[in-house]
Amino acid sequence: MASRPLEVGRRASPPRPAAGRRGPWQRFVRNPRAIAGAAIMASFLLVALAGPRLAPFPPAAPHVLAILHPPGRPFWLGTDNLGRDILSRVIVASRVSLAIGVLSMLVSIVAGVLVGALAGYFGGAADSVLMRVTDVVLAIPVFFLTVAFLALFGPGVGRLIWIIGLTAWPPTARLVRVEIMALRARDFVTAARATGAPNSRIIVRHLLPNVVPVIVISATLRVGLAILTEAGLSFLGLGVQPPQPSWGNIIADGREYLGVAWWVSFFPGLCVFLAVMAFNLVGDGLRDAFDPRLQI
Amino acid sequence: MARYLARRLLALVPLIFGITAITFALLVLAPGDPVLFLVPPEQRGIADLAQFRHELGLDRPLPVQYISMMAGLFTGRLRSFSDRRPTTRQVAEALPTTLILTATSLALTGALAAPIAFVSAVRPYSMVDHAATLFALLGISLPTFWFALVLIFVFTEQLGLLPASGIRPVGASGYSPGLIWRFLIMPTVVQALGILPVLVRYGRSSLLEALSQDYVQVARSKGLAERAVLLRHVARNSLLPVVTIAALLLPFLLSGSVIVESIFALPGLGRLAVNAALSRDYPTVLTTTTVAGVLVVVSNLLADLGYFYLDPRIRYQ
Amino acid sequence: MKVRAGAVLLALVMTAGAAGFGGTPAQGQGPAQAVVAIWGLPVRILGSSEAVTSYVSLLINDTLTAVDAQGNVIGRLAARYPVSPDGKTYLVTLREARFQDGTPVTAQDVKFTYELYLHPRYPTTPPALLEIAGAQEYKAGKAPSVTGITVVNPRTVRFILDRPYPFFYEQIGTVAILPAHALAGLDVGRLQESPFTRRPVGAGPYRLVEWRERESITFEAFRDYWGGAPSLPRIVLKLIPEDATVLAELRAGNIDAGRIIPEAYRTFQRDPQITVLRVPGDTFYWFAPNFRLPIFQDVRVRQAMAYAVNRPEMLRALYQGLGTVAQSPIHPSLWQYDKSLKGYTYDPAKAKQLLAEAGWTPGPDGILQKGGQRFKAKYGFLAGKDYQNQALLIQQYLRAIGMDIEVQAIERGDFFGRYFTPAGNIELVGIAWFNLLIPPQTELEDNFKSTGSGAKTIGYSNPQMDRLLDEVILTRDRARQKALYAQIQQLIIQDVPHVLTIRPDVIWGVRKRIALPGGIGSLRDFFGSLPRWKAR
Repeated sequence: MASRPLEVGRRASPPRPAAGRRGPWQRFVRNPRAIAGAAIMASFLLVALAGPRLAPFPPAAPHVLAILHPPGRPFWLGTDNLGRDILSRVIVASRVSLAIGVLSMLVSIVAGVLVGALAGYFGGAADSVLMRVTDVVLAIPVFFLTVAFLALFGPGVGRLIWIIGLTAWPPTARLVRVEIMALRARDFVTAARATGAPNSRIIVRHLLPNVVPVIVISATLRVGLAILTEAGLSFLGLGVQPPQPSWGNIIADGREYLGVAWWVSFFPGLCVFLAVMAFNLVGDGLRDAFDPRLQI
Repeated sequence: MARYLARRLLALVPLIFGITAITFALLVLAPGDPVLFLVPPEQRGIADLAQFRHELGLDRPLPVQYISMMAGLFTGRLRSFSDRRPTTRQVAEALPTTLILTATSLALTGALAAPIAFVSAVRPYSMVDHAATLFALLGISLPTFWFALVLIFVFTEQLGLLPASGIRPVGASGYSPGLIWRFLIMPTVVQALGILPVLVRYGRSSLLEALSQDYVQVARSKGLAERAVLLRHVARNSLLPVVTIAALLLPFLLSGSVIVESIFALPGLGRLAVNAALSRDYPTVLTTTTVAGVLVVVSNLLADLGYFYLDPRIRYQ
Repeated sequence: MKVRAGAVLLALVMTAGAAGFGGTPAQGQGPAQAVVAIWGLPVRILGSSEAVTSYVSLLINDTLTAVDAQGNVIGRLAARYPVSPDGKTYLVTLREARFQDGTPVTAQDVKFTYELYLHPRYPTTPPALLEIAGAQEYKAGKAPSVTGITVVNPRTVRFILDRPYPFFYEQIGTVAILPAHALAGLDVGRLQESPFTRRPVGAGPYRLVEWRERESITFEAFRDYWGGAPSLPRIVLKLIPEDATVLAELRAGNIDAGRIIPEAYRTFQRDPQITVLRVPGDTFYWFAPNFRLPIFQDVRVRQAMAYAVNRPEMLRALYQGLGTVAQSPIHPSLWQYDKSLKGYTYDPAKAKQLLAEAGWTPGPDGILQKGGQRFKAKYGFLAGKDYQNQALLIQQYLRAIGMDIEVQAIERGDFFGRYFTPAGNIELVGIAWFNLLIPPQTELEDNFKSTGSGAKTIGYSNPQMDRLLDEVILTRDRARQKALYAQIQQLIIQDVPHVLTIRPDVIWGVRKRIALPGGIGSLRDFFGSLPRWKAR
């Protein structure tokens, strides 16, 4: 079966074309969009790390005398339908939302790199078996499977991370496979093999470092997607379960009040928007910096 | 070509087996008893659960259950646990709405992605590029359901311009092709903006690839106006193939349909699938997942064939 | 250039959508029909006990008798319905009525229908029918027919019960009469697959003309309805799962009626186009302890929990104050409800005092302790917004009197199988009742009589309660029954098998072009009132 030309990661094999004489990192810092994205990303990560210490109120404490309080003193972003402080909730939620984004990304990247590297390096039967599996996972509309899994097994942060991660690896696997296949035939690999280095060492020491840019780019894009997936699942009641706040479930809980108390869903919505935008901008920036023609 | 097609079609068999096997495994491994779901709590004492389980075929060995479910699925005899209608009929009712919405979303995405990708590739880092890129990222950066509800709030509640529900789908009384599309405007915008960045990225890299090709230099050196070069050579050669990858966006759209259909009260495949999962309607879960999988696989095949058709340099053995 | 083309295209799409169709908000909705948004549609008409099914059934079907808002029996298809002095023989004379296919409603139809519901394979048998002589044997598959149902003549049917049962006519008020000829040859085991359950024929005011799964059900007025043809020729029940969509559609006039969230109550009241209707809800909330656990066996601990809950505040916080405090499991509009009932007020001091009397005193961390044991419990609730919000408030209230409560949502699939089972690991459960079965006797027995399934689940048993509940059905004197129900309600308050909390109202928005009839006293009434809606 001919490989699908459109899903091939790149058409040109290395050497990488350089869009100028500067190195990729210099190109990255000169890209205003990427820098803006990186700055937003960094501030979110800082807030998430500081977490509850930054929150002015306990995030779960209802203030029954200040139900749906508009933004203002002392609730700077207003309160929700139980009188809980939105600012505190959004701050506390950033931790679990970003954790889901980052950890599920790690799961999908590890799985994707593993499958891609093995398939690409060994080729033959291993390749065709692994690629058939990849095809199957790719053919399932991921959200259907995720929803079915969480509805049947019950939601939970751990399960969210695993299911989002384990349904998202095929594109990474394909990219890595193509890269590795292109590299496998090159001199330095042949040389390494000639010295009797074991396969695992060749893959880890010689091949993977060359694939890092591709992995990093697709990883950045994955984080944003995972945060959005959690939000979508919260809409269906299958995301992070209240009372633990996540950006997704705060928006989902506040969605009914859009016409009555816009702030309930607006501020967490803004957080998701900025975070996902930031990860996308950084991902795009990295791609431009390394190889603008990369199709990720 | 015929042999290639035959082989591709044959390759669908293990794919479909894989999809159904994964789904079936999920259903079997899931904790909880679907029968308890179907019998209301106040009837627990009266209803005969064992009898019920037997009627649903849940008391048979797993391989038998799997095989009979698959056989039922392909012959249209598999019935939903909840409303006891053939699952194929449920899907037949739900599918047209989803497919129409998918088509309109793809069309809108394509129409938006082409100019954005073009600007972004030809005038990188210009103000137009920044604006276009941010716009492209807008839809994918917002939680779909929130974006959809904001649209409803503005266009239905405040302005009263567009209906947020009430479509008469294909097959329903009162259906008319002229009437349905106003119900599709908001869902289409939501769906289209959700996949826009993906298409823009593909389009952009494809354009950049074309721009670095020799024939562009040749065209330029022939003294062709830059605009003619860009439109006639670059755009045509690089954007047309990108159109075919639109088919690869189908899984995204099907995933998005789950949420969009709930919000806009569209009776489509996504809602059918979610309701089935939430109510442990195993036959319907299996059917919707399989149908969605087949759609994806077939659209991949169409994408490849489209690419083949558009790019004569590619030959399949 | 390409850019401009794209932008123009987008602008075209947007403006065409806006301008081309802006002028006709309520397409296809003349005064002839009413579109009512509903949060769920039935999956079937027969063999389902879902609330939404009973609402749809109110339109299509009719019953022999019915119960009014106060709980009194009124005749529907039954013109006369006397009871013999020994309380065992019920003679029903039918009025002249027709099914929607034009055939008359006969005594044979009644017998057929009741036997259908009592069929061994029928999934949701109404419990009252099992009181009929021979019904148990028939249900068990040991008899060819129900001996206690006799067709006297085409217009008269006689029911004989095994024992005097004072609420028979009340209980059969939800049992729809179906046309025997349309169901001839029905395989009851495959009931759900029969065409009838998708295209039902009844004797009710509206005829089902189109049923679209997960989308809408359309009804047309039945001209020959015995009570007179309804005013609106068409009713569409339209499924809209999202609350926010309902609000927007109602405001835009794309639907005629829809449920609105309490938070939007005031906004909608200001809308001159919309009538806002507050209906006492059919749902009330409570939580119950697991009586098998020693910590909850002391009645003072249960009473303390009941005193700790600030019910008016719950209503204010969660439902904008729209609702009532629940002091009794009986709906306040029913005659069985004791109006002089004094329930629990919010009194945390009293609660702490009771706990101290029971030996529970606050430890250094503020959590109650008794002999080295900390007062700790896991509160499980059915996953869903109402339950969850209430759980959060209840957690706070109980924490304020020193109980360390952990809250946990349980998915529907697990919930009924899990709470209070040994493996369930749940010590308190938050749940609700839907007052669908009228009169309250069945629900009371189920939840508080030691043999009831609800009572068994929480492990509750009180011989005095059992005796009172048995005594009610042995008497036919309304005043005596009323006195007994008062005692039962008093006992529920004293003994706290359930901590009753709140009964939120249901709020409907209806476009002003519909003239609503008066006397809508419950959610069920709201749907029951549809045949009396008129276009202005």
